[in-house]
Amino acid sequence: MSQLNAVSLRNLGVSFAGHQVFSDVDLDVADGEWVNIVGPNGAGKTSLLRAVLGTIEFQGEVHVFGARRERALEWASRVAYVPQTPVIPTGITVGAYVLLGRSAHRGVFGKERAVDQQVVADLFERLKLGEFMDRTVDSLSGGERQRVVLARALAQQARVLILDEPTTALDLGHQQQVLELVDALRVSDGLTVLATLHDLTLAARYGDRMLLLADGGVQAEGPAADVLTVTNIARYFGADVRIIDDEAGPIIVPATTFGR
Amino acid sequence: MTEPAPGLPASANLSRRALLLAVGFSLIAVLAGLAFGPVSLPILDVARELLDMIPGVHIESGLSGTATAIVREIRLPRVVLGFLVGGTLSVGGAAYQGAFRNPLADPYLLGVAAGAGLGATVAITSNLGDGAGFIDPVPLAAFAGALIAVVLSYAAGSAGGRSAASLILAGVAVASFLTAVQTFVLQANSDAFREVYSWILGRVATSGWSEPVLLLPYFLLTVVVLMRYRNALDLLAVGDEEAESLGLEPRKVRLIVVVVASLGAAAAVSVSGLIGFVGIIVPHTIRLLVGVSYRLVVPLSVLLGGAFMVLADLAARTVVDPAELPIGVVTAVLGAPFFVLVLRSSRREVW
Repeated sequence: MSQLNAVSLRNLGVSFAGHQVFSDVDLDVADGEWVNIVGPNGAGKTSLLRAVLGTIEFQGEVHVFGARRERALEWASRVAYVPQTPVIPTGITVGAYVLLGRSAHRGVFGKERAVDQQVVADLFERLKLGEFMDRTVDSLSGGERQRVVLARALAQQARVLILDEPTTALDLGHQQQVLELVDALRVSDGLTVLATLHDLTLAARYGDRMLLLADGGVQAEGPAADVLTVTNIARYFGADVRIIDDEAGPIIVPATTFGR
Repeated sequence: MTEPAPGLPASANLSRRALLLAVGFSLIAVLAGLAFGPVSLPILDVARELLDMIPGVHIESGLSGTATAIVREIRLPRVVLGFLVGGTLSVGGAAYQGAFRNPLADPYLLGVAAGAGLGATVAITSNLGDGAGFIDPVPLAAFAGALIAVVLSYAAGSAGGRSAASLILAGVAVASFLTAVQTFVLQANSDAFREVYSWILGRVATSGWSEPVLLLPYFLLTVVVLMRYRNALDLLAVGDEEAESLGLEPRKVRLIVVVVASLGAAAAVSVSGLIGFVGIIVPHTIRLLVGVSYRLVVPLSVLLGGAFMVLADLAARTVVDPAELPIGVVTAVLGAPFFVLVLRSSRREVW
């Protein structure tokens, strides 16, 4: 028998108010792997992540390192989440915000222990957040804020990290910074990453594999070069693109007749 | 090594200092409530008298027999009742604001006030309220009305586990409906108008220990449960989905917090009438002073809410001496400008 998969989805389906968003999704993510979910708007990328998190109802099965979700608290120590648009409570300090990630370990009712403070202190150092600790999260810039949200997720010390469009609203430099940081943490801490990414070129560069979710199911899966074909993109995204081959992965640019 | 780990908020000292200050302020408020009134007594003597009441402690207070009776039998039950009512309503408001992530939420939102008002009106207009029985039926009817209102709101608003917003909307609908019924009952019994009106304006006048004793278990339940749930309230601040991903069961937590806070508020209004504003103003003042974390907001709301009510009652019975103002009027008249002052002078952002 092969090694236990970090994330394993079987016949996964999600429906909202009678409308089946997708069904029969199977996916295995190996320990330490980075898999991106791509697909057009409304294909259910975020719903798929939420099913893994257990925050919505779904059909089929979700296993993380062989276990099924039973209680929110226990699951939070296995799966950490960076939402697309995090809710930032007004007035919360960076320190208090990152400490929220420790609930999974100290319990919702537990008192903070020295170990919780140590984990957070280490994260502040590794993510270079020290100077922000007494600032309020809502006073930070987009890039700083994204690092703080990532720090909260890392404070959960879960082995699976779920990222929903982690680069939304970030400029080019900060997009790259955040994804490089995630990759460095993945390598150093042995994390498994399951992410959605809008930008296909970025998705091709960061991640071992991708899964194309469209029209109610998985349409393609595998290395970026196999999934991101002109045909697939025309068919499922309705986009006319050119693909430039690059050693780090395909570059997707819109084909245009502008000015001609 | 007493130095906090680098990168952590050095908030432990701030918390301890804030709690100590709040305890001190509450003690001063209680002493003032006992010492001042139509007859003013030396505050140190009153403090000694209070110490003397602790079992095993014997101190000669120097108060005359009449003064001792005023302190022990007239003012103390009233001060204790005011403290319990204020603490319960404030911490209940803080909890509602956290549970619904809405700065204007308090237990009145789900119809506690309207239900209690209808219950009290029915009891008064049907002439049950003349104290003929063993217990005063008005608080009982108010309590029952408040609980029915909350149950109705919850049943209407959260069927199928819908959002916090739908619960608020259901609460508004239930409250409007119950207020309409109350108006109808009152129209049909206009002779009871004065009595109902005086109940609505609120009072913590009490003739003895029966009301404080009635309220005490609900106060303790509210405080103990909400103290336990204060971390959960901090987690709820990031919204249900994220809170759940961090290990919380948001719907369950919201149900427990709301039920407990409603129970406490129902018990408080049943003995004191509708005292508005406390559940909003006290928690927000605390947030402006010490920050938004419920770890501090919950305990400070109990202490400062209690102290605020004791002082409001002191004002109610001294400002237009020998008459008494309804305490609900005092909390609004003193509370609103004070709150605006804190709001304007604070550089903190809340909500």
